[in-house]
Amino acid sequence: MVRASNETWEKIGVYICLIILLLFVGFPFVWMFITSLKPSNEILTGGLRLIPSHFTLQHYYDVFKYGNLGTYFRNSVVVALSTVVLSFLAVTPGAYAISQLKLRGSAGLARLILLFQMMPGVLLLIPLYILLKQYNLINTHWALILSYSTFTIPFCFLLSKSYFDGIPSELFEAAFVDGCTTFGAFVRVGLPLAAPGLMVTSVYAFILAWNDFMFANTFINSDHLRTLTTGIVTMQNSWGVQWGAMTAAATVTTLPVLIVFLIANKYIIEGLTAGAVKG
Amino acid sequence: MNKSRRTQATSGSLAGSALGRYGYLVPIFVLFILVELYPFVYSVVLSFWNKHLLHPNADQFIGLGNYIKMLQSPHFIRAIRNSTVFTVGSVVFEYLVGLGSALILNSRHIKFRNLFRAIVLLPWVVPIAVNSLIWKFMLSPNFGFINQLLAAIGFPHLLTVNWLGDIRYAMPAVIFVNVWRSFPFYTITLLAGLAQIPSDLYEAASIDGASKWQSFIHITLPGIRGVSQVIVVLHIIWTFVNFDVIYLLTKGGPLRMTEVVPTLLYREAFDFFNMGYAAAMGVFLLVVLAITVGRAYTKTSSFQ
Amino acid sequence: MKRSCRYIGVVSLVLILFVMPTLAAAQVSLEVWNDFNPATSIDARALVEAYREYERLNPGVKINHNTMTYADLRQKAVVANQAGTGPDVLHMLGEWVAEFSALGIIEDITDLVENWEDKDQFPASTWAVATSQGRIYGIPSIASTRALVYRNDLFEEVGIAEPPVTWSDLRDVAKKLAVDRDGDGRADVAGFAFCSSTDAVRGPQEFLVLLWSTGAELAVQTDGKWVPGFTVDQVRDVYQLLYDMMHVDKSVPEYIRGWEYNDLDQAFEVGTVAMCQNGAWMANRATRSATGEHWRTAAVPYQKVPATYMEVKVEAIGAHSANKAEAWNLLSYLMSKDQMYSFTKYDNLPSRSDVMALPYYQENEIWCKTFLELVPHGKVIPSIPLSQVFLSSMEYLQAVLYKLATPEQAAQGFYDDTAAYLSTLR
Repeated sequence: MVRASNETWEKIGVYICLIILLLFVGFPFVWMFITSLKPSNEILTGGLRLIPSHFTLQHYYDVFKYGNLGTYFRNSVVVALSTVVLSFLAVTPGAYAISQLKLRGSAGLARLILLFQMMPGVLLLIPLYILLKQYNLINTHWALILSYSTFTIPFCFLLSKSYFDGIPSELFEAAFVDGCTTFGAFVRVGLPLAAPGLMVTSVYAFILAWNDFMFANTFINSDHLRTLTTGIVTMQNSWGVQWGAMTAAATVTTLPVLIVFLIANKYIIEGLTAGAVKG
Repeated sequence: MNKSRRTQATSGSLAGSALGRYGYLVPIFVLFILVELYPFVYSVVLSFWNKHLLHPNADQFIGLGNYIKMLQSPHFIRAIRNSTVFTVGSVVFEYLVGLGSALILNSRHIKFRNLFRAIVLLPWVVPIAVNSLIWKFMLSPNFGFINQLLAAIGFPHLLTVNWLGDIRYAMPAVIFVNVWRSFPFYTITLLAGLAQIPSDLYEAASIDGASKWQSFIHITLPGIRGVSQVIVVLHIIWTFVNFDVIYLLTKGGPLRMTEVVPTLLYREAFDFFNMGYAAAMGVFLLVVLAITVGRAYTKTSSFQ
Repeated sequence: MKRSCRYIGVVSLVLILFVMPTLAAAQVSLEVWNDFNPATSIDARALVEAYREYERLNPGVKINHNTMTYADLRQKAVVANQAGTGPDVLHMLGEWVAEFSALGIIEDITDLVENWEDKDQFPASTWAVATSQGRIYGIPSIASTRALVYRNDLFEEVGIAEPPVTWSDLRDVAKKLAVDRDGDGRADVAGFAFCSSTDAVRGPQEFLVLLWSTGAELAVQTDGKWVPGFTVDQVRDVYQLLYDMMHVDKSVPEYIRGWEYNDLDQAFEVGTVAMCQNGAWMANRATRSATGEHWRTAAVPYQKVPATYMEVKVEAIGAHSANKAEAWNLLSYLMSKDQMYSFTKYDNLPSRSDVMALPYYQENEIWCKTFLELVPHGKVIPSIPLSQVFLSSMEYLQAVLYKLATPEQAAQGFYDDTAAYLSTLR
């Protein structure tokens, strides 16, 4: 009897904590969404009311019609995806080679790359600008893809190396015995077995690239090349923040992320944790 | 029985394509040199020069001049101090909130755990540009939700507080927003760590009459020690070099109370165009990190 | 092996498809860098509409409007120039003209302007802003002043008929306005408020108006060298005034410390501020505010000489532009009477005299006429890089407001910092 009641109390306590946690995490987004539906004159003076007296889609209309939000969104997707593809192409063969082919000097390279994961992005901003300019890449998406590689490459390398490390070397040796070249073993054994881990690495790299503000703000000048993060920040112009338009734009930015997460969360999350848990 | 044959075959195959094997390193090597090593070396070289974009013809090698100027600058000293406070404050609270929320979500009473886990991760996935915007709005004096809420529940004098603009509250406020944004990473990772603790350990403890608290201290905490080390070290680095959060929330103000090294560097480089001086700060930042957490970092990371 | 080839092929195809920039079909594409943001400003939408009209009139020309904040505009223009590039048309603050022309960011258009029939429609004072070392580097597009914006209803409530004229009037009026109406022991509205944030330009501008009104200048050039144009006492008076209003009269609440323009404008809109320095763009907010019909404008109170900040925006042609002739065509089209009228209605006031003379401006007593009448007192910021001086003016102001420094100490500090900085200019 006492046990059961304890159990019930514990359950209630856990759920109260859960509700507080969800409010803490989710309410700012809810409030953002509510604000985006309020008429301008109610945003500052509407108080704490959760349901505005009037609903309007005017702010959404404005940001799409006048604010190029669709373009920003497409650019963000393009840049983040390309960053992932580039990092992937560059990183996986190297990670495989260092993990499984026992190259001399590979430990040194891995250590060096590891060290560069600590590299402050702001430190690379100035030389990258000068370098990109030399190749006429300022104000192109290439500038972003290359600069995002500065943080995705060390990360992806270390994570995918840990996935290749996780594959028993006997499997590769067996493949060699069967007459596979090292490349054949990479493609037939390494990639398929590391695939779940590599997907996870890609998702993580995608998020890092999707979230960047600093490089995008510094390297992109043209409106039609802007990503969402800089696009939204630019909406705060010298005549003051129009919170209605800003929250509408923020909602549009958040919604796809939310949808993708609700659909694929189990897979994504399990992957995200792999790197740290493995360590 | 096949062992010797296999070894032979392996070494044969490996030896036969020594050059080819190094070929795998070419893509990463090229990209690494292009986007990491070259810019880094360039920065180091730049940090010994007086390079000012507004005085293009005054470039001059000044040795350690920038470093000396930097270490004598009260603004830089303050930025170092703020960076430390921001990093330590963020990481401590992120860990506490992250651990708490992981324990809640790990409770056997919780249903739809995956759904809640996804919701909790949301602040971390949404771009900082959006997060900081939401919080600037929520924390606005007079009409911000937080201020109105505090006023409504009996603290009317807090209605007008300018959380991000008042020298007393700005640092706690940016730490708060940063914790809100970053703790989900801890939650998710610690949750995965908790899942790896064998449940029979808890059963055995409970049979031995251990209280929940004792199980927590003697089973849970040791069980997540490895994961905790990794995320804490990673976040110390990420927070120390983070530019976006503070730039987007306060730009380092008020009165430089939230000026951290990355925002000061950015201001020197892109507001005042002192490129050499800014580069020196960046190099310094990296050296400090390498000295303080470099060892812990290479030890705990997946590279071993 | 085959599979791997296919894999690499698909991946690189994806890469190419995603990254290949789409090539514009137009023959000439003009990049415009501007602060006007169509997402949030009606004037900006009208400006973009004017571009589209120009494109219809000039087939083969495509205009790309790129919105940036002023901080970004300056930063990007300087950094891009260092890399040998830049926009075709650049919208800029008047105070950047000397710096940008010296750095070679903007094009000398003196000859084009001299032969332009519309030239005389712009007041000489606005051309002066666009001029450096005797050469013209742009067309002044927007010229507006700062006024005292105040709440007429609150004035009437406490029996004040006229807006304050001098600093001592300002202190008196602010004190009367900041009263406790609901009996909670605190004043319900701020009698006066101002910006003191270090990360926006409005604070330094408001500070400068007060400094100018003591009869001072920010910086003056003697023998080719820049030196402070003010005395320690003059800055001290400004800091002392603001200190007294906050800590002696308590007509300026402490919570306004660190406000940026957004906080100030929103507070005025919500109705918690009775007076502030502000611009004509507040007309826009007045339409949204419950108290908007009671908003009035007057000259900014002064100490010794009436002064206000004359904000002139200049449209320049990028020195690195490959289409300078086209850029000039576009500019002279946009700066024509009809076009300027179309995009200076809500957030801005026009620089052309013939546009200002239109009934729309002349009949709008509160939001146009007051501002136009202040033009004779308008002063412009010296055309030298001053970010560091502005930053330090606000840091010392905040130090005074937080009682970390006395007005005397702050004034001395600001004077010393400014003198030291100016001596580095050549």
